[in-house]
Amino acid sequence: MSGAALKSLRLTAFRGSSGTFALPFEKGRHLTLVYGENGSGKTTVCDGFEFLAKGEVGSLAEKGMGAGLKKYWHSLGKAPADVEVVLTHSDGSSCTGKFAGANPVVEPVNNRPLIELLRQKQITALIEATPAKRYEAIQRFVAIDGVEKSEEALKSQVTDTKATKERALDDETQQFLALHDQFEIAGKPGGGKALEWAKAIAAEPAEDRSAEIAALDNLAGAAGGLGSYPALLGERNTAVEAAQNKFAETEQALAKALEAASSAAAETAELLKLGTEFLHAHPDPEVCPLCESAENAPGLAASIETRLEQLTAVSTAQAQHQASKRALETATSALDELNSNYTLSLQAYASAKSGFAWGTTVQFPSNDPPEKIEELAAWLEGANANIEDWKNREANLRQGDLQRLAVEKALERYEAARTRKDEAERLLPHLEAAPEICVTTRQAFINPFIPLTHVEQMFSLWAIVKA
Amino acid sequence: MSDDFSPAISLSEEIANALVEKGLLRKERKDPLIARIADGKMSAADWKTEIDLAVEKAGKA
Repeated sequence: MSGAALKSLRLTAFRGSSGTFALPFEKGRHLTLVYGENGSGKTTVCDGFEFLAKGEVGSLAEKGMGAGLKKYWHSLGKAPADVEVVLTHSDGSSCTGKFAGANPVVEPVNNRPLIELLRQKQITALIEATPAKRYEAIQRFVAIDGVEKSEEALKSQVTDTKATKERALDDETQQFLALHDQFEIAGKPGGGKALEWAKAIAAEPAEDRSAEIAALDNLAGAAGGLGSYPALLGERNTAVEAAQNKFAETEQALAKALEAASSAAAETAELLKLGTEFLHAHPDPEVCPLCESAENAPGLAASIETRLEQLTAVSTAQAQHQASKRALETATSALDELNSNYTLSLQAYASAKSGFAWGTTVQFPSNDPPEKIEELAAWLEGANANIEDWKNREANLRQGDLQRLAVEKALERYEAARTRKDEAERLLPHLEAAPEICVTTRQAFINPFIPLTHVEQMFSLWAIVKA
Repeated sequence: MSDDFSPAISLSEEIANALVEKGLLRKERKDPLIARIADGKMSAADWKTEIDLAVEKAGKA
């Protein structure tokens, strides 16, 4: 099919046109209406297009003669060979239909027109059909698919907005329940309503409690750290006492060992004398006189053994004494370290206490912690209530911050959901009205086409032009 | 784009007129939207914006 506009249709010896009949199409027009009295040739024009497009003549169909109808395609008094139907386009191209023997031939094939043709019978059926069926049948001629697409987009927006409204409603409910939970956790302050309570909290200027929370944490930590000292002091005192006892014990043992070793000095001298004599008698001994000689002095072996035991006992006592001395030093050092640490802890407490401008809500023990650890347990007993109060206040402040944050977030989400819901509710009636207007207008627009369909050529030619 | 003589344009114009009459389209937006409606280029978001603004304008009037 040529894309160019139609210029003319020329019929020669075709159907009702005994000679040559040319139908010019007005330039620049998109619609051609052919009208006239009965027998004036309107159907022949349609037949000419159908002959070129399909090699058929529909107006003769259903006459019950089959292929024999071809003899009526040429006009009376003319032969099939005389038939010529030529459709010319504005760009000079054309399409020509003739008979080759008994068969119609259209050339060039590519220039054949594309047509849709509604005959009387189809139009009658169309008129009798329901509006929906009529529209379905002529929809492709009316060509308002773009409008319908826009209409569908509008309907889609209505659906989306309804869904948005439902989701926003769900969100609103969920967030309200979350606020209500917070309200109940807070003990329903004021006995009012959750929403008003949440709005009041959110409206309060946010107070920075972080410094007081940190100071309370520091103070409670410093005071809590003191609590371990009494027990540690007891442990380390016990350790020192035990080390001292052990030291004294080993000291006595060492003295006793040394005394025993000293009382054997005479025997030691005798042993040495015998050994000297032996060496004089045997100036060049080949073996050790203590291990292998047959010349044992009387009591020599026993004396040597005793002497060795005494010397070993002294050595062992000395080692044990040294160990106990070191243990005592370690225990004493640990006790000193504990006292030093306690001094540091006292300083930390004093620093924590003076490091923040406490209001009247924070109470302190009447006295500061004692300098001596021995007196600390009593002080702690009196201070425990204060320390607990500090911890509770810190927890309450932290909880308050968290609660405020949770309430603010829930309120924010609640209000956002409510805004979305209100927005959807406001817009929805207008959105819903718009597609109704579109549908009503479209139906009213399409319906007038139906009564006009009795002019069958109008449809067929219009369809040709659009194709 | 649809031509000025197409049924789509005619229908689109009628729809636009009806929407303007009902306050669902601003009058000054009618002409630019006729072709968009006819060509199927109106998206869901476009409709929402146009109707929202028209309703807002009608509310202020």
